[in-house]
Amino acid sequence: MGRIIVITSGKGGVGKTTSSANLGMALARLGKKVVLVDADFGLRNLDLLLGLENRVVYTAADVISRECKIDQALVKDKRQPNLSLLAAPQTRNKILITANHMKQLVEFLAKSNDYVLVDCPAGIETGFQNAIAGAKEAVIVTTPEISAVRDADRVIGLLEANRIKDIKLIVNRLRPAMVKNNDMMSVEDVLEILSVKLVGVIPEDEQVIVSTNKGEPLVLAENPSQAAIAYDHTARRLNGEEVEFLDLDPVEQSFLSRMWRSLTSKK
Amino acid sequence: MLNNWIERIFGRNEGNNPNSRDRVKQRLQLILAHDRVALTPQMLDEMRREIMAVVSKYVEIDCDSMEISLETDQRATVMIANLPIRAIKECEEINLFEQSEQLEIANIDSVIDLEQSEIESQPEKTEEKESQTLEVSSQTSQRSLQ
Repeated sequence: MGRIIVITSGKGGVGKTTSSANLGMALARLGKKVVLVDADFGLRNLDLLLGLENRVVYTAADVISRECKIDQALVKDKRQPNLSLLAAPQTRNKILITANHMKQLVEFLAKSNDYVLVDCPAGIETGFQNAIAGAKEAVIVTTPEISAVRDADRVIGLLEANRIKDIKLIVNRLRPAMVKNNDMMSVEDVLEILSVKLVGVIPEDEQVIVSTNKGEPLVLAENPSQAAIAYDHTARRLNGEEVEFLDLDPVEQSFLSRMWRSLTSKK
Repeated sequence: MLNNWIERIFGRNEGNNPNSRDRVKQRLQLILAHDRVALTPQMLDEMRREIMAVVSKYVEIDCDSMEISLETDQRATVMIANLPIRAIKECEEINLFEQSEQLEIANIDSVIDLEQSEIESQPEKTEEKESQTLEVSSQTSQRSLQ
C-alpha cells in the first residue's frame, strides 16, 4: 500500500500545483512509482505543468462515473515512466463527486503505486474536503506572507480535525535577501507560528515560470536551479532520506560589485 | 539620476522598513490566537460573565482589572484568566483582600475580548487596594501582548 499524500495550502497561488508536479517528478526519479491526482475539478492545471495536456483523454470524473477504466485514464509520462497523471475534469457538472468517491479512488491507486500525490484545490470547501478524503498525510505549501500563513494555519486545523496528523510544511518563494533585511518572515518565523515539521524550503526562482512555459518540471532541467535542487531535496526528505537544508543566505554584495551593477544596468 | 546612483551604490534603498518582519509576526500571532478558537464575541462575553458569576459566589473580584487573555504555543491554545481578588466573602474583617491571585485555566479553546467589558464597576475601594490590583492586571496585559 503506497502513501497517500495531499498537497494543500488554503490560499491559492502559493505553489501547490508547482510543488505537486516537481515532487511527483522528483520522487519518480528516485525510482518510486508515483501517481499525481489533480483534485482541482473544474480548474485543472497539473497537466499543463507536466506538459501532458495533449494526452489527457479521460479524467477522474470519467473513472468515478465508470465511463472508463482507471488504467485508461492514467496518463503515463514518457520522460519518466514511473510517473503517471490522473487529470481533473475541466467541466464540473458531469457527476456529483463525493468525498467517498475520492477516497475509493486514491486508495485503489495506492495499491499499485508507492506514492499517490493529490493536488488540492484552493479554499476549504467541497473541493478541499474531497481532496483530503483518503489522504493519510499532508504537505502544506505556504509562502512567508501573512495571508498564506494564516490560511495554512486554518488548513492545518482542518486536517487535524479530519484525523490527518502527519503534516509537513514547504515554505515556498522564500527571498533570502529580504529576510536578511527584515522585510520578510524567515523559515524559522513561519515554523514558530505554525509548529509543524519542515520538509522543504524553496527559494523564489524565475525558472519556475520558464519551466511552466515549457511544461517541464524544474527538476528535469539539465542545469538545475536552486529551486530545482530544493525540490529534489524535499522529495528525498519526504521519502525518508536525511538531507541538509540548502544554505540560501544571500551573497554579501561588495561595494565594488554594487557600483559595477549600478553602472552597467540601464535604469 | 545622480541621487539614484548614489543610493544604489551605497545600498541606501535596502532596509527601508526594518520592522516589517516583526510587525507581520506580531499581527499573525494575534490573528491566529483568535482564528484558532472559533467562538463568537457573544459566546465569549457570555462565558466571561459566567466565569465571573461562579467566582463571585466565593470571593469578591475586582471586575475592572480582571483580564482574560489567550496565548498559543505549539498549536495548543491556553486561556489565562487573571482575577484579582478584593476580598473573601463573609469574612471581610480578615486582611485577605491584599492577595491577588492568578487563575490559570489551561486548554480551553476560547478567546475573550476584554475591551468590550460590560461588567458593572464594583464599589469603591481604598487607594492602596486599587493600586495593587492594577499592578497585577498590567502584568497580564503585557503577557498577552507577547
